[in-house]
Amino acid sequence: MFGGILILILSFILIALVSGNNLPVCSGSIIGSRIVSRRNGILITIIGYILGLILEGGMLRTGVNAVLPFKSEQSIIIAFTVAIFIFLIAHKMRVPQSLSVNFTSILLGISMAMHLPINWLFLSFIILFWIIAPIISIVAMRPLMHKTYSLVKKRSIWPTINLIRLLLILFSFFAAFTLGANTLGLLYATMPKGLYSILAALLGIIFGSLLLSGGELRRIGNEIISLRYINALNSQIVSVLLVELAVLLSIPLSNSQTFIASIYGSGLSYKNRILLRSPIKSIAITWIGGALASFAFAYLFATLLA
Amino acid sequence: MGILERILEGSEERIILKFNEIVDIGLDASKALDKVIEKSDKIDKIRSLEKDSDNVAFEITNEIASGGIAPNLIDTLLELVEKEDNIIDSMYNLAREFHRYKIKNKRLDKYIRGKLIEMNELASEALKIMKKMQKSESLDEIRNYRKEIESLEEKGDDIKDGLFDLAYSESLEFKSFHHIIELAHQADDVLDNCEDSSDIFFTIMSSIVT
Repeated sequence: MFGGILILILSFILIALVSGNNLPVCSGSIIGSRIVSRRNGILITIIGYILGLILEGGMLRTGVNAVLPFKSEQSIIIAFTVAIFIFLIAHKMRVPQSLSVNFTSILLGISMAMHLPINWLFLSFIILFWIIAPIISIVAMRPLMHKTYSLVKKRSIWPTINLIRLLLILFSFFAAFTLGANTLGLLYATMPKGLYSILAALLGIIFGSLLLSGGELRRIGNEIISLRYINALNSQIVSVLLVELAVLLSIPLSNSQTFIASIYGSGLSYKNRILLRSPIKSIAITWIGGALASFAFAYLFATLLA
Repeated sequence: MGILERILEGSEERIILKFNEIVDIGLDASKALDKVIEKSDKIDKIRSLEKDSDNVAFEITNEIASGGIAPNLIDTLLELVEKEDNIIDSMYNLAREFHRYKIKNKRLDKYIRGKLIEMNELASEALKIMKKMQKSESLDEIRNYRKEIESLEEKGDDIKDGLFDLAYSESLEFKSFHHIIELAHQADDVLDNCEDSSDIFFTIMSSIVT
């Protein structure tokens, strides 16, 4: 009973942190370019998260079961506690973190500490997808940008821009939808099934999106996304397609990774380019560091408690 | 206004169309300047147009700062406001300089007035192209308008050089010499600001669609 309540509280906190931390990846471009107000951008994201979680969130169970085949209350509590700890540090540093990578590393750490049978083949497939997805994002952007530019060039400017603005809103919603299905779905798939779990998840989404997204919105908006409309739209399209594919394959995949890789790819598609590498580098390092720290903490906690 | 209407209206489009208000004032100022040069009219009209332009520029600046403009466009749009406003400022400065001193040599005076009117006609032509440019829906068309304005500015440069040559070749007292040089510079500034505005406008539009 106490364990169940603790899981609900921890999952609420974690989902709130993740929802706030990842909000800029979904609606940072439409809020940053002032297509919609901050309030409307957050609202679109919340609706996307919720629909994604409800409609497709269950699809991640195969992925969770491959890494953590037997879920006890103790293992879930350790997983959520370590994930919250890692995310609080990331939130303090205002760095977008990849929960998909961190949480999978945590589940792996717990499984290894508890000597559970891990589906190594599926895990290898997940890791392979993590490596391939950003590469696909970067490579796909160049032809996509050129194709879009040649299409836009032939059309009247303002109606095309208005269409792009509408598409950006639509794909920001889809980005939130896939994040709800994949990243939040990963957490939901780890929680015990039931009405209370879904309620805790929904409350976490609303609370986190409204109150915990400020720092990340500022960082993404000021330091990374000085995006033009076409870059923003194409980055969002590539990211959404890859994450949706990951959902269908039951693979946890970070929206932030695919989105930021796409932005980088769009920068490379210009003839003359000056790209600031330091923010990209620092984010990549914190992602890898976050995964290693997550694994180490989870392994340590699980070993000590076991 | 509903959210969809606000999105479809687009803040950039609204603001860019508002720039034509400055261009319209510029066209009126060009007509007023013509009268100042040709008939030595007073500069009251052009002074009031310069104030109108300042007011419109201030309104646009406020709208840029407070409206739904993508942050990467804000600085360039503000630069465009300044350059377009400078067109009318330069016309006003030219009118003031013209009234400041009278060249005694009638032949020379008639020749200089003719050249200044030619430069003003080029400026008026450039402003008409700018108006079409700012209404245009095609990047290729905007690029062509930019080239047309550039070629007008080059013609203006040639006239300015002709005025310099004249000033140095004639035996003039210092005031007359300085006056001719100053008039040539001010008239050229009008065209330079037209050219700079068209360059900035092209940059803005290409950064919106690429």
